[in-house]
Amino acid sequence: MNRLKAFDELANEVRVEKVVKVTKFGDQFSTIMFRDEYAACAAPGQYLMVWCIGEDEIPLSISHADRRSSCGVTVRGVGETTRKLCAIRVGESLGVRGPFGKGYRVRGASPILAAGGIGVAGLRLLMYEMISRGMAPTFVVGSRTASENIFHREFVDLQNRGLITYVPVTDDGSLGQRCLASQMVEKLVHERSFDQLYGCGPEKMLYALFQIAVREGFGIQLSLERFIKCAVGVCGQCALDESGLLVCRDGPVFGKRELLASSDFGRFTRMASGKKVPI
Amino acid sequence: MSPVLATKLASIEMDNPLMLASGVLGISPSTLRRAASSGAGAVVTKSVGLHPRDGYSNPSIYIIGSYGLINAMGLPNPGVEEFVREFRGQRFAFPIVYSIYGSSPREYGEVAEKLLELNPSGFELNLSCPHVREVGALIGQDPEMVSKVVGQVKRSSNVPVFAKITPNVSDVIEIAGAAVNAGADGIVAINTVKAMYIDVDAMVPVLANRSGGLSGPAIKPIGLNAVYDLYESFKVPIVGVGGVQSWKDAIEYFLAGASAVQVGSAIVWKGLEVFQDILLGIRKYMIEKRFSCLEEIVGRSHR
Repeated sequence: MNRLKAFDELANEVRVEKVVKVTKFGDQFSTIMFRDEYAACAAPGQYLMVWCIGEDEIPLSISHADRRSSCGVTVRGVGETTRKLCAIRVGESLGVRGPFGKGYRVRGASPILAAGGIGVAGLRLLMYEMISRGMAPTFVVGSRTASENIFHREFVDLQNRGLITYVPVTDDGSLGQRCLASQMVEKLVHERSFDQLYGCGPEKMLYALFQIAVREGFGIQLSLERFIKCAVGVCGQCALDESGLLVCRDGPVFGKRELLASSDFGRFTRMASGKKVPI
Repeated sequence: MSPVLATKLASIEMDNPLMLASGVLGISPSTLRRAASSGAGAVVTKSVGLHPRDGYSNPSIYIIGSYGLINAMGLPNPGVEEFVREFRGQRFAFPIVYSIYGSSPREYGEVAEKLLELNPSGFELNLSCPHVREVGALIGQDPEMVSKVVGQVKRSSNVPVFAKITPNVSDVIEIAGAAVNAGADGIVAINTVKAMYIDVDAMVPVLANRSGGLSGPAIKPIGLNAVYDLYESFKVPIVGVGGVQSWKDAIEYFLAGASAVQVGSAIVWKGLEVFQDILLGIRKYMIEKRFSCLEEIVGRSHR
């Protein structure tokens, strides 16, 4: 229960870093690369609080981390701050603090990963961690349309080298089968055997994945999204009922037991005021 | 004989003298329960107002090394009606003090009346939140307003009322005196100290609200001095808050005159285990110094 452990205090402080590379995927998505030793050593599934200077500070999954100094986040421009971040240029600066939270733990022998939308960012790092350990994960990547599956070419290349089994799906059928990522997982679990399911994406999708994992009896680790203000486990804004677990510090990745204990998972979230609303 | 840690604050019976400070975790029944099961003898909710508030945008917190935390959350809360709806029907095995903020004495009174349905153990009046313009700061810095707010809430119920004092005044005694004379059952000292952080690379204040309130070890000496002075002047119980991270910090506050202490920012650095760690240390200290109960320590430095 009391897993709010002490952590490295230096990582808490804001570091202002220069952007060294920006990779654009259409006009909606960007991978922003910078140098930061803390973030570069992040565990897959951890996140950074990224401060768009002069604007908001938002939580973003770490999509790139080389364990030395190079790291990056991948952002989809949907709101004011994310659109500004998407348009950031090399040489400009952003503030980062973290990495925060509990990431994924690599477990089992035959993992399946399922991403929905921009959820692919955090799972990308997990996939590389698995590859480096000699595992060959199955990666289901769901997007609305082909152009929004931003790492498609990279993943096809990995598949061609026999490192992953890559299964893209889309809402409109423009790439892979026309279905939801969770529906594809449902199909795959009948064809092959898996022992661990990892997911990141919209909560409705995560809830569907959770039901599959519980039914099939394999382990599950899902990354939840909530309104994160402090990121250090004090403001309580991201709390999950009934456990009181905090997405910012006890999560964002939760396992089966924690998810079972949460009446909020798949159902409720909190707005900026703290008001609880249905998902 | 094991020392007795149970303590009574006005009419609030607590298993131990540690409280969860307002603004920390206390947004929902589940987080309050978690703090209590981690060892807090009582908990204080986030401040609740009449209307919903989103608070300030991020960055709303800045952590300075291991000694300070500046926050400008901006009193996010769902408004008292929504708040009561979420707490209604919940059962708690520990005392809950509901923190109230408002922009006028009437508003404080209205919120208090609406909270009565929850059978509160106490009310803590947030007179002092230094980073919300119009709200807190004006009231907590003006003895006349403090007197009116306390009087209004006192008239609304028999629930013990604690006034939380801002250190951002020239004389805390004057403000506390106004609260006590208006019937406050206790004083909570101190709220955060007005502060700012500027990043040398970004060359701007980091917090979206520019300034915020400093908490953590950096303000402990300030809180300690306030508690010491308050103890000299008033008979009502005092709750010490500001930088309590270890048993030693808690004992210092007790010696200065606090009957209980609140723990907040320490959770950033120490995790929720901080409550058990402090309790263990207090027990050891009491055994070593042959104290049998807390009353023997409270205010002892004044002898």
